[in-house]
Amino acid sequence: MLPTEKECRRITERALGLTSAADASMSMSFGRSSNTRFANNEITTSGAAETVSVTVSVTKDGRTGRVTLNETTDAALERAMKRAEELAALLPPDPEYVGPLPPQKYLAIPADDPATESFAAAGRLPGVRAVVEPAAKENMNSSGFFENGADALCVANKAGNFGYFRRTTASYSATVRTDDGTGSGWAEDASYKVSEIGAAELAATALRKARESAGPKKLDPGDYTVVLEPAAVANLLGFNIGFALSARAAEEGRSYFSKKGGGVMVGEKVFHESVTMRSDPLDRRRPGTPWGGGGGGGGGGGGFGGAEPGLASAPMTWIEKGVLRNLFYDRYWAKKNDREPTPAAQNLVLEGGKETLASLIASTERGLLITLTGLTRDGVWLIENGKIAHPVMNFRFNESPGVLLNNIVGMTPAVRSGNAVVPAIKAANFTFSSLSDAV
Amino acid sequence: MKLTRREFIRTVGATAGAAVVTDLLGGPGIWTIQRLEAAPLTPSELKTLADVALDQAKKLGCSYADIRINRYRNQTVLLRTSPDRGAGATGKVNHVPGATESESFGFGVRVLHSGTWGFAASPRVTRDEIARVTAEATGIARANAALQKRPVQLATVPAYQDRYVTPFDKNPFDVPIQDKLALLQSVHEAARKTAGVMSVNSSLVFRSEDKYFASTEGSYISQLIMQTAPSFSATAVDFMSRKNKTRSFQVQPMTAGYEHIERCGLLENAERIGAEAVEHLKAPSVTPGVKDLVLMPSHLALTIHESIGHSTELDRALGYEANYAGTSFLAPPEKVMGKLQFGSKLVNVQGDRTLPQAMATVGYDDDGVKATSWDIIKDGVFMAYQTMRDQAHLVGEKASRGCCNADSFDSIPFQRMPNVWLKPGPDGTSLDDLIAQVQDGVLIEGRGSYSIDQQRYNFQFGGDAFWEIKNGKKGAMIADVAYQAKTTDFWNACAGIADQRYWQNFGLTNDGKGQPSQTNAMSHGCSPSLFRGINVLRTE
Repeated sequence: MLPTEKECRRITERALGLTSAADASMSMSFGRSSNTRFANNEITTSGAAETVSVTVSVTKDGRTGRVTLNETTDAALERAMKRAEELAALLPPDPEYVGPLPPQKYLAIPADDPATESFAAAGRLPGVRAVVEPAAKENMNSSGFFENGADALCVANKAGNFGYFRRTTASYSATVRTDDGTGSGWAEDASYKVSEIGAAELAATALRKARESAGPKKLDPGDYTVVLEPAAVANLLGFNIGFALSARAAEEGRSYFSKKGGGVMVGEKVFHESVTMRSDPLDRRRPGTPWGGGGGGGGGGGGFGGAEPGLASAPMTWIEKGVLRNLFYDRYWAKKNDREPTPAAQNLVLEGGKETLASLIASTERGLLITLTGLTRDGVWLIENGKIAHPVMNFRFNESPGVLLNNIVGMTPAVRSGNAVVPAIKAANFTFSSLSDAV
Repeated sequence: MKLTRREFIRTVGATAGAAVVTDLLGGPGIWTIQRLEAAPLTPSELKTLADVALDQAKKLGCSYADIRINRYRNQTVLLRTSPDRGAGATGKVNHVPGATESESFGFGVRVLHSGTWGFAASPRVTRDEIARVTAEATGIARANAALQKRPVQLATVPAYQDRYVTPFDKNPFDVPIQDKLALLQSVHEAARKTAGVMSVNSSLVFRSEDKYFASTEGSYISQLIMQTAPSFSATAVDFMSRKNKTRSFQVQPMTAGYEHIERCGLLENAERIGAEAVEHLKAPSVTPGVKDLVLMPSHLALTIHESIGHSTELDRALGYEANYAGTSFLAPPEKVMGKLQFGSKLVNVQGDRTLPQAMATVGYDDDGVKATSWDIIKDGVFMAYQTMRDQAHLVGEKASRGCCNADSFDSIPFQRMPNVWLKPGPDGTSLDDLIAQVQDGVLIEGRGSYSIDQQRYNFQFGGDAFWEIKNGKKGAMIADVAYQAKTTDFWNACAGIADQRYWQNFGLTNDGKGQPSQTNAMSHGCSPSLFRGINVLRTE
């Protein structure tokens, strides 16, 4: 059993009482997880682990020391608190210190499923069989990963803030490769409810994509209309958008949203008018956490207090109909701007459209259907006259996500993928720079 | 409440139940970590605990078991200097310091039952918990045996009773924080001497692993691994062009003590690094085309890592990483081992866990295999993969290459990259000799953005700083350079390697692989090297 809210409250109250500093905070996470990994159509490794992480942070005269440990006894917490005080005393004051985080109102986010917490190795076996057995029968090679777990997270400080959050997690992914090494397919899903993960359906997708991507033909690199499946969109956008949304980075000229000559692009049209991008911790497709970074007394100014959790999450619109509406203001940067801090950009939702993957393909005269990026991976097909013509070899591209979001032609409704909720996107003029022999 | 040595022995040596430590929940609840911090455990205390797992595993019918009881310590000291809001590159700056320490302790048990692996771990290092976790690991192995086609086979290994300690002069955890911050402060002041430097970031990271390994093969091994990793970078911004450039001083991370910080030249190089950030911002873009490259060790280390280090991992070659990190073009083993011309005759690459001060250097790996070194590439020909005990037989080898590693006590040990390093060229070859051979080329230092396909065949690398080479001479800085090649074409285009005077041991501290993802550190020593006729792109 993970510790209850009451137990966490007792631990934090006792521990925070061990320091005379007016500003002290804690964050704790307790977790259990177990997993099964498979490759070459058999299980390779499998394990279960319990984890504990407790961070105490003490600030005296604007000087902050931080200690992390993985135990909760009185003796250990006393030792940690004392060491944090020692570290604080050794440091010069932090000029970006903004004081303790005031009490927050945290959203109640439903993300806890008891059946997912208790799921074990034997329970994961049918999901593994779902891909391993048909792959072996078809002389293909499957590999993948099935993991589930539960966490209890807690934040608290001496200024009276306290938060407790329980969540479960489950994820499944499978890769299938053809015997001749020319075809590869992949599928993945994650949910806080293991019962929502359709292993058989995902396995069927990976098997189909492997089969249908085998024997690819060479196609010249260059500009193509692309239909990017949601996983490819999540991969492409996931990388930098959080950083780009930082008000500080934008003001300092280090972001996509920095204005030429100084300033930021809030209020300006930055992407195609169909682009609306939000954070929504309550989105059922991918629930977020009740708090994000920026909770530390250091203000989270990209400063070292930034990593400390605590600032309450809330729904935020970043881009509305192609116009940049908000940037992320940590507590220090918000104070400097004489405004309230912004909830962090977590679990991004890119609003979709009304098309289907089939209709996006059907309306394409000539283009490419793409499963996954990095370099393209696990299936690329040429679309001709609204139909899949044949698989093609993988490509490398050096295209900016900004170009993609400006050239949108159509979108499907958004679905969960990775840590985001995104649609499949059809976009014009996506530049591929060279061919890749890898499959 | 502190426990004395005697009380500790009572806890681990006798029946549990007597709660020695009062916890915050009012009793020894499951989430209360009961263990002792008063002093490191002695070898006999560790052996007593380890034998609980080994005996329990044997009792449950396991054919093999090992336990790792590990303590990890980290200290990070950081300094960020950046302008106050609206101050730009010339106004008021804030020096934001940071110091964090972390520690974790626990154990992981790995068993083989019915020819199948099982693993479980816990942070509660008590006899009862070790017995419970061993049974849990066994249960997992038994459940999964239904889907095991071929029983796991382990290469033989001698039983060792030994201790290994990273050689170091000064324990970094004993050096006062003030001294560390004072050093970073003076580095920042020097880096900011050039007008136009907007921000400076630096860090000193220290990590120790106090590892204990015991297995049913009869090994009882303790190790203390000490890692030291300094870094700093300076950023210049041009608001008019919306451009920014960050120049990093690429410092070798090492298994070493604080003496490495004192000798690595942070302060000596700070002013130059700041000036080069500004120079880079103003530098003209490269003219793309086919060019010769002179790659410095601070840069070439990453190319070695991605194209040789990863492609020669046996688990990738055999499809074990297909769902995550990827596979390898270097397959199937029987067609490439001892046969494939990976590079030119100049290219000799070692797999090595014994190289002094390298990041993956240990006494023993997490299979209990003694550290070793071998030829991965000899005279340009690919010779042998990186392996661990359960893989050796898959390539017809009798012994493991010692590449088993887990990044925490609660991570499952698996095959990880050792130090993979390029031997220096023949004596008498200088860096200037290499540059003198180039009519139209680029000299590259440090790491930049890069991408490589999942089979490690088609790659593109940027860098941290670039200089034009014209008619045998190094010229001014240029910008926006990346080069693209196929792994074997690139290494076969290696036309010169400077001698051992120029050899430097750069490496990585954060290489990810596996599901759940684990990190690993390793070094890729090399000398500056010349590559002919490489496709150079302009990235802007």
